Amino acid sequence: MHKTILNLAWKETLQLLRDRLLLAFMVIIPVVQLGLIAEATGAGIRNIKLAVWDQDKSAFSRDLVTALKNSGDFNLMYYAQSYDEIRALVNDGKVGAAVIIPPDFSRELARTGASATLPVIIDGTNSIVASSLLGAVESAIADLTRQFVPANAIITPIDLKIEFAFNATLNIRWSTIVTQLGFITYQLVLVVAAVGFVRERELGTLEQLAVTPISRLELLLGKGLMALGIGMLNYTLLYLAIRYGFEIPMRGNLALLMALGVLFTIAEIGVGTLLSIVTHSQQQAILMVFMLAMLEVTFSGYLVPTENMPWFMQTIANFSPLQHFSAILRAVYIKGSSLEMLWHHVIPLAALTGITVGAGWYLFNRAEW
Amino acid sequence: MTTHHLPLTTYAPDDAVIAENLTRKFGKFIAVNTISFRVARGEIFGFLGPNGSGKTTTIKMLLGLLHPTSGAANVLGYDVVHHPEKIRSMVGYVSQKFSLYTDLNVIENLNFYGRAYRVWGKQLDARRQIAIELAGLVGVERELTANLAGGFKQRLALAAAILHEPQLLILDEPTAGVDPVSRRDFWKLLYRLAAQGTTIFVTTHYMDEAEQCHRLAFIHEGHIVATGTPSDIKEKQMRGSVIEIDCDPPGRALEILRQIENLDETALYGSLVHVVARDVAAQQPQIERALRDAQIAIKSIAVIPPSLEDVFIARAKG
Repeated sequence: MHKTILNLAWKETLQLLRDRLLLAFMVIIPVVQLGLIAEATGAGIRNIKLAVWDQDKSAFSRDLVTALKNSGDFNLMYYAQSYDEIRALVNDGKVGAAVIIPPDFSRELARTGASATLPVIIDGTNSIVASSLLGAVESAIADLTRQFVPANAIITPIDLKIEFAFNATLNIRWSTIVTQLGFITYQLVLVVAAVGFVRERELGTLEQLAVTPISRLELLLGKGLMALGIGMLNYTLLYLAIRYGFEIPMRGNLALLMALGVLFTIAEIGVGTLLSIVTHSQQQAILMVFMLAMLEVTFSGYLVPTENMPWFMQTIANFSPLQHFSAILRAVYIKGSSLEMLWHHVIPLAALTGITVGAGWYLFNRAEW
Repeated sequence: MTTHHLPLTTYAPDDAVIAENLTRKFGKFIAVNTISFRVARGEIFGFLGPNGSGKTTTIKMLLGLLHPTSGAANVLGYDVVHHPEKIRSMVGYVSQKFSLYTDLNVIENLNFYGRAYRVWGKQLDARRQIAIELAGLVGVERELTANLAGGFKQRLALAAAILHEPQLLILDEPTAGVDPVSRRDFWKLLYRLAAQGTTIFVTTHYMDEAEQCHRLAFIHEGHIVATGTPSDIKEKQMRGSVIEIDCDPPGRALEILRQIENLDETALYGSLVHVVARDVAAQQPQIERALRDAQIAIKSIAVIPPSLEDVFIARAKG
């Protein structure tokens, strides 16, 4: 049986290598998508308009302002004189970020063991821009701290007190990029699985397969193995790009991240197989993938956090494997959550995997060739 | 689904295929209507009929791809409903539409199908080489299948279907749309396989191909209307005689003859008119008179032995 499955998977691989469009889809889409995100989150954002209200007016506070200016990320537009003024500048969109240096900032910083608080207001309308702004502020301050504190001294932390002006629930920097790991894997696996059977049906090759001694189970496993292979290869490469290319620290357990990636990929293979069985042409299958993807991205918490949605949308979101996996990715990768902390997402994901794969198998078994 | 496994008490080891009252309905449409036939091991069995007559539906039932609505069929000793997997490993199938992978090359296709039929390793290499030589595919082994000409594609499909040395080869209009030279080459191949003991079940539109079969069954609108060897069908199964008339103009003659009652069939064969008559002695003078009255010049008129086509057309009508 395993030889038959490998034979099928090998055939699929050969075909994939000849399918330039699909290969382009596999390689170009992830590169473009990640590149665009990189552009939006990384060096691409320059000259963010900044307002500063310096209440401290010390040497250190001036150095801080200079450091922000010199970082290249900011364009210092206003020296504000009051909180209301700062607030108005942000509300009117005249600045993208504002830093409020409290009166006793340098004194607090000088006190060993204590931490100074630095309120920052960021326009959170666009969560991607907001997270990169936050990153720029963080790194400017980190540079400054390194400059002023001797290497052997205990570094006094500066506690950034961040206020998001419009998107109060924007949580963690980099969540956007990490979420892409799920999105790109999702698209690819779903498309590969969705065209799997309908393509052969359309070309008439499914009938030829049906008269061989290959069983339906072997056929399903052979095709599934191929999709799983592509999905996990893509997942691993994206992980490496995010971890080492974007240098986003991975706080969780890598084995857990991979294992749950496999679970998610199998769920999407199940969904794709279902689409492949109920559709009559590749075109139909691809259109269905697009419709589904639009829905699932909406529900995934990428644009609006799921917990902020109305109850009925939250209910629907519970049936989206992508929603659960996005939450898992953010939790494991960024927060370092363990499996015990994730059961409320892992169990629904596992259940959805069982349902989609089971339904796919059931329908495939009943379908006449 | 109604009963589809009547006891096949009459199965004999010499039979490659037995169909008993095989029926398949699609909704109200009866594609195959209580047909019965036998194919003996080692023979070339021609399954003839126009488009939509039920040929492909019958084949799909024999391969276990479609379940019979009623009736039963037995292939190589196994019931088609209960043991399709046993049947599939002993049968090779070349479908009507080319259905190998056009994005794989010749060798890749053969390797895939060989392994699909559980032929592995050195055995696969050896049989693949034999099949490539037999099918005349030497030199195009690395060619992408999409780039092959029609005749090559058909021979490749055949090569892929014989790697597991099937006892029965089922071919559904294998030569449709293939040029005459390639058709003849393809049939030579079938003869070689038959000589090696492979039973061949083939559907075709071409009467010259039908003549080359050991036995024939003619299916029309889901019913089998004639079976037997080609000579048996021509000699014994024709109701009436074929009168061939060479006259001018033949088209006008056809119109005149169609007005005569009791003539079973009038048709144009090139520039000749064929008429099927039950009673030649009475009807031939009647024909001559009618044509003369219409001032159509008769160059010759004679009773000829019927062709297969004559018989099938006559049988299909009634």
